[in-house]
Amino acid sequence: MSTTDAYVAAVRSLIQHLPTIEREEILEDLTAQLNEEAAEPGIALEQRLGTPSAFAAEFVESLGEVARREMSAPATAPPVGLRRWWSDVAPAWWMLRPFVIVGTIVLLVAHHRADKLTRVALLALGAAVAAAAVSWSRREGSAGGRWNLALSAVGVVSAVALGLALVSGSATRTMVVRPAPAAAIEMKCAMVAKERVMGPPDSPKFGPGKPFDAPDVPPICRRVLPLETTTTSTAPPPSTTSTTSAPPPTTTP
Amino acid sequence: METTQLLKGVLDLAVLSVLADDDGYGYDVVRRLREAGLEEVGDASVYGTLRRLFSGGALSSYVVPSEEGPHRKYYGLTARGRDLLAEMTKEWRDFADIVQRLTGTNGKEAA
Repeated sequence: MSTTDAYVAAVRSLIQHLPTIEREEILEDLTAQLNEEAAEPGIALEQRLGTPSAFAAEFVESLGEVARREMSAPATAPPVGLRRWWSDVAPAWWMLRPFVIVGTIVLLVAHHRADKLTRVALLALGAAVAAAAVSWSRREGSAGGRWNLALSAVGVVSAVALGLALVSGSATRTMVVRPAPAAAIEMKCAMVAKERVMGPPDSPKFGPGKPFDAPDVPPICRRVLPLETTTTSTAPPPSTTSTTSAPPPTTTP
Repeated sequence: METTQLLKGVLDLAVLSVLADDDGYGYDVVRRLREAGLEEVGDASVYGTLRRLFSGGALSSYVVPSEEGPHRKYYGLTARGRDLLAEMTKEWRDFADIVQRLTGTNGKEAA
């Protein structure tokens, strides 16, 4: 048996109590080192490395608490239950998060009254932020940290805002909370007017000359359409401009 | 105070610093530390420190196949390792400043 093998065997016998992986790793490294140094002539093995017992003791001490581990398990035990679920879901969330944030920004921008150029610039900025956030998320991954937490918080708030916008958007569609835009009113009321004019003859409701000021005519049309009634009306004549001062689109998509 | 005592305090920092420059395998790290001037550093201590840092998540490792010899296990810093290095560097610098101030006064008295 060569001096290298003898030395390694001596160290092995002194570190039986270590976790298997640590024991095998050090013996492998030690063997590799000794073989490498064997090419360099001169100093005796024990002078370079110390006695096997000194070497073993020094190694165990520098391992610290790793030496006291029962099993040769990895430092971070595989996650179970909720942590496991999160470790599977987390990467998807990190990739989705920037888009949720940017999606909310896009919606806010689309409904903003700023001019088109400003809105395009804001969108470009948002896209740049999203790209940066995606690449950062990929790199840092599970490295926690305040920034990751902050970004997640913004992502959650954005998702909630987005959800609310979607929900309230569909709600306002059924309620007339804000007046419809002029064009829509005109179109809708024009349809009513057409019905009135083109309706089947002999119909009590429809037909030329029948009043628009009837209960089944939508209230908003009564203000827009001419009231062909025998009673005097104070309704304003129909105009192409909206009688309401409504801002552009009511509902969010 | 022997150098070995000082070394024990900074070995983690020294190993992290060496690996920050470039990944390395066990004996490679020992060599680089010695070349940097830490001649007293023990091989066993470096190996143990590497395993401990790896166990704590500061290092990642990968095997590089080799034709002439055994496959070598290389260590590199993880993101956590980089954070740890920055933290320890700051701690060391602050500590060194304090010691500098203490010894500065002593030196003047002696002269």
